Amino acid sequence: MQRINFKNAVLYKDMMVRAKRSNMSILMFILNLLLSIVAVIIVLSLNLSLSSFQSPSGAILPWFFISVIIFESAMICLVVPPASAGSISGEREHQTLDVLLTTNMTPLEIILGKYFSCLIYIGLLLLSTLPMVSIVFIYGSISFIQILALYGTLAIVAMYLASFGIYFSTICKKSSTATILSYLAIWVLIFGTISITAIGSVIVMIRNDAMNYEIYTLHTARAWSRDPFFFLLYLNPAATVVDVVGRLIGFDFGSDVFGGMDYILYNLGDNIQKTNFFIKFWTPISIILQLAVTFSVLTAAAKILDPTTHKKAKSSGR
Amino acid sequence: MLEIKNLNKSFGRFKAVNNLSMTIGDGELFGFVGANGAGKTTTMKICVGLLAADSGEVIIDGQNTLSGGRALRNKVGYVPDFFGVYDNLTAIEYLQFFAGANGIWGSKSLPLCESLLELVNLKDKRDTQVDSLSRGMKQRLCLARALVHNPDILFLDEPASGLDPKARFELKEILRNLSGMGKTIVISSHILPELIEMCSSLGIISHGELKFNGSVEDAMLLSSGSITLEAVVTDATEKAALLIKETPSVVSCELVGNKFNIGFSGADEDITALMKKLIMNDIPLISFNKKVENVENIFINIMEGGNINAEN
Ligand SMILES: Nc1ncnc2c1ncn2[C@@H]1O[C@H](COP(=O)(O)OP(=O)(O)OP(=O)(O)O)[C@@H](O)[C@H]1O
Ligand SMILES: [Mg+2]
Repeated sequence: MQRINFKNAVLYKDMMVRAKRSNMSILMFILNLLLSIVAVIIVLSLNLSLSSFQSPSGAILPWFFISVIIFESAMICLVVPPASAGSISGEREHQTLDVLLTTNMTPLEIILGKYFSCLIYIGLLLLSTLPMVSIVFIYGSISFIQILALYGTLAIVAMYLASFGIYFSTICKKSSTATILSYLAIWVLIFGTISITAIGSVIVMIRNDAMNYEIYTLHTARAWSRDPFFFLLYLNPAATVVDVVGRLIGFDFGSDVFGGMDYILYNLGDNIQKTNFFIKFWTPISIILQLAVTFSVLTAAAKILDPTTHKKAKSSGR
Repeated sequence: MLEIKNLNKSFGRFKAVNNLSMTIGDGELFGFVGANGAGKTTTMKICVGLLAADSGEVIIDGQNTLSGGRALRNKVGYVPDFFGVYDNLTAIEYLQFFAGANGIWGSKSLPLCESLLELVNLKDKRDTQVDSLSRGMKQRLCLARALVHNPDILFLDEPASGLDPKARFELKEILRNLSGMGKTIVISSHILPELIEMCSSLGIISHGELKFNGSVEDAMLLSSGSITLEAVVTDATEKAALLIKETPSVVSCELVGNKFNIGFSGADEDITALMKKLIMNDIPLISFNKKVENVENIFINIMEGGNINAEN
């Protein structure tokens, strides 16, 4: 294992450079502007429902929560690629990468410095929306713990997605290519996994049917867990967010679901086994898996960045 | 001491560095000369750990840096041929960043960086944005950056390219200064005259192979095996040609108009003898001179002369 110095010069430098650029405050302003529009719509509709029915609708509150979460998640998906994909390729484009690699910093330290400067940037953007989000949540009577759990999950999503941006930044010469590939990766993680799982389960179903096996319908939890593609969904950050949201506001939907994934699978069929380990512990399993992927992707990037590890020389810079 | 042993590096089928061996002594100002594409940058990148060699050794102070990994990293400083600077950083911030990257933080960092700026005559540019510095200033800043961890050996890849004569002069002064401080400096260039006046020893590389490794004096000696004499006559060219050609030290003789270009291999006394002989034989000689050996010729002579290794 390589030694890691926690006093990371790349982290300090990148944070300083990011802070000096004005686009961060502009971005914060735009985000909060958009969020305030969402907030106004929500508060207005809440007031409307209050005046017309004289009591807050139990079903409408969770939807406020959900709209804010969708907003924040979409923001992460949009902001992470440009914030992370320029990390290494940007140094390469500036012709400063070679010089950086001759310092005492190890490739892993450089990668981690870049990674955390990106995370801190995303974190600050997320935090900047906190006051606005709190206003909405106070109206919606959502507790501090719930906000904390939400932000924690979003942070993990950001950590997960940013690692791909860093990876593509390491393998691509141009930041623009790396940015496009990171968007693509996010798209594959969210929609690709769903499509593959859906197609896979249909194939499993048809095959079982044709072989005259005990017929599994798509709806049974056993069919899901027998289906190998099903496990791909653990890599889907959207599934994690859905599960967490379900846990936080599940009671509002009036069912005794464990989490959002349970709820979705429950609604897909009638035979769901709530005690199914894989579904019951969706959030922790997916978070552990995603953090493991994050770690592997970052270490792989550090390996690639190390000029002395691979024989096949990539022309650097020129 | 820096020792390179049997270094090989191929890009695909192309052999960029071919079994290159050379020795550079402590405190030496070493000129690493070769035409474009000869393999200078490749060799330097291998030495500073930016490129993996296919085979061979780079030994610094008795330790192989290629297998020793990053342990010797703080012994070498590197100024690449193409280098960038960051936007949004001032000169002093730029240096402090690299000080941090080399593990120098806190109260040690600022005085060190300021003294380095002074060393490269950039004190007045301390708070200037680095991307607005001129090329020569960036070059010097980059040199200061390479010195931040106080390395024993400095590798400079074509440091003088793109600099005006004044900037070159300043750079040379700084390099002499550093050399005086006991640092070993390896400078690559494709312009020999530039190096020869300040370097103590030379390595000449061509197509990935080392053609020469030794002191500047050795290089001069080697190449002056054959010199060119010019003799201008007003008449009697045929008689003169005969006289010249029969002289044993004459290698070649070529007549252009009234001027003889004589390839000559001999001592100064032989030149005097030839001149005397022409005059004694009533050749109307109006000019006779030894062509001042162009340093470029040394380079070309050595390149064409195959592998003349004057190492020890
Ligand atoms: N990354 C690479 N991939 C493929 N070929 C390369 C690579 N880097 C260098 N080469 C080739 O290796 C040879 C030596 O290149 P190198 O850059 O070492 O030359 P140089 O002596 O520094 O030349 P110059 O004076 O132009 O800087 C060249 O023919 C070049 O095309
Ligand atoms: Mg070069």
